[in-house]
Amino acid sequence: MKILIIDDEDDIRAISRLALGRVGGMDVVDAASGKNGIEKAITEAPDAILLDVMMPDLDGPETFGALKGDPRTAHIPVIFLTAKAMASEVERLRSLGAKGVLTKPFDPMSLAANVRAILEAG
Amino acid sequence: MKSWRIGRRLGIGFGVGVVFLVAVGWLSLRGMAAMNASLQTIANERSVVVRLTDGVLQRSIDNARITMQLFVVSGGPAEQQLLAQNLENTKLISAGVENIEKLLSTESEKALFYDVKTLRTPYLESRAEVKKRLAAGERDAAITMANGEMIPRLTVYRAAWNRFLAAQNDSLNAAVAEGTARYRATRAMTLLLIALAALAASLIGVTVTRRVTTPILDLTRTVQRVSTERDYSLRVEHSTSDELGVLADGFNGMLGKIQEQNVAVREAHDLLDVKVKERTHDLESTNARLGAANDELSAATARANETAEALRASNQLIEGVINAIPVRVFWKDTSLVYLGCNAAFARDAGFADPKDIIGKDDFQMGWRDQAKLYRADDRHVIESGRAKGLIEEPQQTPEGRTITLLTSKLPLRGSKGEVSGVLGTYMDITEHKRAEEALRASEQRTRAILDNMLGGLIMVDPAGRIELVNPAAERMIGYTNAELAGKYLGPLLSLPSGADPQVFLRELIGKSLGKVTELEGKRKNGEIFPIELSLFQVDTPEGRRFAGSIVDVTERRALDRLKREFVSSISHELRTPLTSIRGSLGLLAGGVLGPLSPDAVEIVAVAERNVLRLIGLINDILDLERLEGGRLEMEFESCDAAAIVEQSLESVRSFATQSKIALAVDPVSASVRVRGDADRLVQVLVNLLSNAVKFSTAGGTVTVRVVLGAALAEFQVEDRGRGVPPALREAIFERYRQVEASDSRRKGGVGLGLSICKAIVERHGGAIGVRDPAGTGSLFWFRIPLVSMHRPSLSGTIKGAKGIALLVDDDEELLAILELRLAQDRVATQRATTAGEAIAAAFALKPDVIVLDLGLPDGDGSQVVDALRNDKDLSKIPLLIYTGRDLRQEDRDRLVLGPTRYLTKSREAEDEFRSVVLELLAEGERKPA
Repeated sequence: MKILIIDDEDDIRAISRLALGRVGGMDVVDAASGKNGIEKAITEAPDAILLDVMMPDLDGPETFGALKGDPRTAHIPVIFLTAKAMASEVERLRSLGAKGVLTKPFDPMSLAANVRAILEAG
Repeated sequence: MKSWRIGRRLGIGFGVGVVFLVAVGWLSLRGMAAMNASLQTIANERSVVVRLTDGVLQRSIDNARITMQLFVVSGGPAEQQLLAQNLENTKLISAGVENIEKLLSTESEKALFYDVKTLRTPYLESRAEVKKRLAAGERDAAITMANGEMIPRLTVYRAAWNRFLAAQNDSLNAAVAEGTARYRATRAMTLLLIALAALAASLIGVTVTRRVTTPILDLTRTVQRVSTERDYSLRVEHSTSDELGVLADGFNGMLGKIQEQNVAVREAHDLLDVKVKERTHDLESTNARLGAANDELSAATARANETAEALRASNQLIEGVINAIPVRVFWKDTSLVYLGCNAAFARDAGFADPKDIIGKDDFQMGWRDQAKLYRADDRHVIESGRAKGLIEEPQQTPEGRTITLLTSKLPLRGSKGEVSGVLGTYMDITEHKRAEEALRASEQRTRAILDNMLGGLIMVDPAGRIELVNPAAERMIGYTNAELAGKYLGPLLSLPSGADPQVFLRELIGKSLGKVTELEGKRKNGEIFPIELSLFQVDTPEGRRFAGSIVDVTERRALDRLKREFVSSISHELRTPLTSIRGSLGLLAGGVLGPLSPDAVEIVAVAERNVLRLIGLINDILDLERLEGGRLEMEFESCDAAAIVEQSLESVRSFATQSKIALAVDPVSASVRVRGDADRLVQVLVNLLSNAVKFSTAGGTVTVRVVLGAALAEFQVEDRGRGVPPALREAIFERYRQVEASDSRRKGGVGLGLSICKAIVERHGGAIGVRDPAGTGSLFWFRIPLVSMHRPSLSGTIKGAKGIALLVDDDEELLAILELRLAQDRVATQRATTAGEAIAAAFALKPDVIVLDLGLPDGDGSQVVDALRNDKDLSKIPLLIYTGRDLRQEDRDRLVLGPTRYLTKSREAEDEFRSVVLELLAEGERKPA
């Protein structure tokens, strides 16, 4: 399984790579901004995208909108990763059409399992 | 010899009576004997042979009542018995020729019976012959013989029988007729004789009576008249010379003697009477004279006694009053020597008895030093002849203290009006003066405090008129005390637009008394600023006053806002680095980056644990900040209490295991459903459970249970730890508190948990607290409303109620009035006085209509509306906003549930409230729930 991580924080990306790649055994590609993420989504054609919400320039929801608006990426399931844990925020992101929402800080040892569970949930 | 006449007459009368009685008895007996004899004669003379079939015979026998000898010729034993029963006197004789013959007496009947006997034998012979032939089988011969010989013989024999019987019958009839005649004759004779005897006896009786009783009755009547009428001139009349004549003569003589004596007695009596009357008259006149004199004397004595008594009572009263009053009283003569004083004065002077003072002057008193002063006053009064009032003077007490007196003196006058002395009174006003001074000092102190305190203070009367404004308040609002005195409070407050200042003020007093209320103030320059008002009540001699302590919170508000923004942003800022740290440590601990040495594993675990704590802390701070700002979202729905408990236990299980604490749960009924946000309730319960685990000693047990109330469910968490001291039971729910300051370091956490729990539970319309459990330790509880499947039965519910109205207002008196009004329309009601209570009651009751005041002690009515709007059912309940404020359109747009109306208190038309509530109830019914 190939997964694309879009997050502006280098440290988070590094940890996510390890948590998904080393622990979860996935192929991991990453992008440091929304714009770069959209390009990677087209070129790498990942099976799923893990998308940070708070990013400079193009933020999570905007990036999500762009991905869904492009026929080349519209089919790829997107999971949001957010530091805002409020129920309303989770609900808002779900209502945009996201496959799932995960909150920061996350447990690196179970991140991959959580991502799989969301994707398999249909 | 005469005296025997009556006795002889009575003897003759008695003898004749006996003779007649004997005669009548004998005649009767004779008559009866004669009747019997005649009947017997018939019986003896006539014996009759009859056939029982003869009914005529039977009747004849009945009528004649005669005794007969009957020879029964035919008929079986049953018939004979029947005859014997009916004819008692009749003798039955068995059949048989010989028997019959014995009965026959006359020649004619003997001849007739001879025929019968003679003809019977040939018939019996031929019958025997016929039977013999039949037995021999000679039937024809038998028939021939029967026809030719037996039947003719039988016929002849029968005819003879019949003749005999007919004769007997005639004989019987004759006997019966004869017996009947004889019986009747004898009876008539007997009756006649008896009647004659009775008549004779009556005649003799009457004659005897007349001869004996008439003279006796005459004598008796005369005796009665003499005894009743006392007329001794009466005499008994008599004509006989027998015993009665003698008796009457004797009696008449006696009457004559009595008559003579009577006359003599009456004359003597008349004489005595005259004398007694004369004497009596003399005595009566003497008596009357004596009586008059006596009455005069008594009246004079009584008058004298009354006067003396009144005087004594009056003296006693005056003396009593003088000795009882605290005022000292004394009097002196013109040479200023004491003539007397009251008890209080004597005590002051050091004497036990007021009499001891007589003859002394002021130089001989304890107040020797003031003697000259007092005497100068006395002299002034005596010389001027005028009173001198209310002089404040010192006095030396016997104990050596100096006290202050308030004295009055007036001249005493003799009978001609000349001044004969001086009367003085005084009171000890030492204490009074001291109190006055203390009061003055206290007033100065209060004034100094009021003038120098930093907080503003405004005092108003119940109508809202300003009485006092302190300098701090003057500075705050820009008006001076003088500008505001007597004015209304209205201009100092920024009222919601359209609100009636009077109504607003009244509501404010009800709402803010004893509490801190946030309001908007208005300065003289028009600037509006936030204030905190705490109102308290002061009862002054002029009546009730309300004092408001006012704090300008402009700066604090700004700071609060800054703080909230800071907290929010810093928390989010902290999350990103924490995510990295947690992630790194997690990967290290998980061995993703290669194996670690045992020491490294331990140290990485320490770091990871503390990062998790830090994250928890930040979450707490964020939650609390949002809760206090009212921005923490909650989704109220029906939740399974058992699931909340199970989920909470799951969260703390590993922590409890690590701490070696057992978790116990009392079974929770699966049907218990509460109204709330399940995640937040789990958060509360987890917090309480982890606290309980934290503060239990290893090996202990923490128990969780749910206890059901009428409308609420109480979740309980019980531990066997050291408990919470009563003094801290409220404080621990405040921010940053733990039971001991050292706890935060030892047990982790800064104590935000319980304040978050409190905020969450209160948002649910519930309450939270801690109390002592049955044993040691502590029992934390929180209560939240149950989802009621059925409406609870309300106390005092109206029979056949149209619906239930939830009335929300902090004014209990108004609630009572509204309840009464709605009761007229058979609308049941439930009261709520706070927003929290209103929300809880709405969830528990599902009322048919809500009547809501906006100003509530713990918030605003809009909070109630917001809370109910989140619920699918409750958001459709008809609502009446019933408030003292005029609402702006934007307020109206905000305050909506189901069909919603707005009424301004005290501006509604009469009964408009009732009709609006009824309309809302009707609208609520039409809309599908």
